[in-house]
Amino acid sequence: MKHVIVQSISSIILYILMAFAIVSFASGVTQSMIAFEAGVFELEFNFLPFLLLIIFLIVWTVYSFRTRPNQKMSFGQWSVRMTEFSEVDEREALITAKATKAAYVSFSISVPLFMLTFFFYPLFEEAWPTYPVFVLASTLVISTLVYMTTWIRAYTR
Amino acid sequence: MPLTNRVKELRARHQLTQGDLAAKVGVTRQTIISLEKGSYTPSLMLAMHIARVFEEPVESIFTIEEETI
Repeated sequence: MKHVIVQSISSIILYILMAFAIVSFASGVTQSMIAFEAGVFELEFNFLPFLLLIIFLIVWTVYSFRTRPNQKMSFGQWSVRMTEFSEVDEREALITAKATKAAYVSFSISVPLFMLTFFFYPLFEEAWPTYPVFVLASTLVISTLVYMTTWIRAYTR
Repeated sequence: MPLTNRVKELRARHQLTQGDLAAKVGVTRQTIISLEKGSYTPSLMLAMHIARVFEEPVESIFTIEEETI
């Protein structure tokens, strides 16, 4: 259970950090485009989110690989798998299937709801141009949270 | 129809811990706990592995509780 909790929370942190890194870069590009129109070429953006993302990725990769459930798995095999999945025995495989289904359902509800908000996006696009990035990150965060809570509830039953 | 089992009783008779039985049948201790609580219905394969450990037929360990009318 600890494995699923740690990996799910790590994924959520990763999605949030990625969102902030993309937003930081997009803001920098927007500013540089404004400057370019004025005849100046410069690209400036906040590097802190990228730095945090890189540090987190390194720490998370090392920790996750060292604590992987199947120690015989090579780095190549491990790196292409979802680390949240824990299927040590048949019961865990069943719980993972149930949690994945719940996450899929949450995804199919949250995505159309967020899509509806895009009807109003032109109204606040200037005030919040990076809204789509946060929407994308939110759908991933919500489905990961649903996966984790469903997994914990089913496991402790 | 719920499935009842005698795993806890047989485990005590064979002087096995939950961890011992889990290792013998290749599952986690948590699965044995859930099995004994009756909150998990095992696969036929797991039921047969457990029956082999206790040297008893599957149907004498796992029984379907018939609903009384």
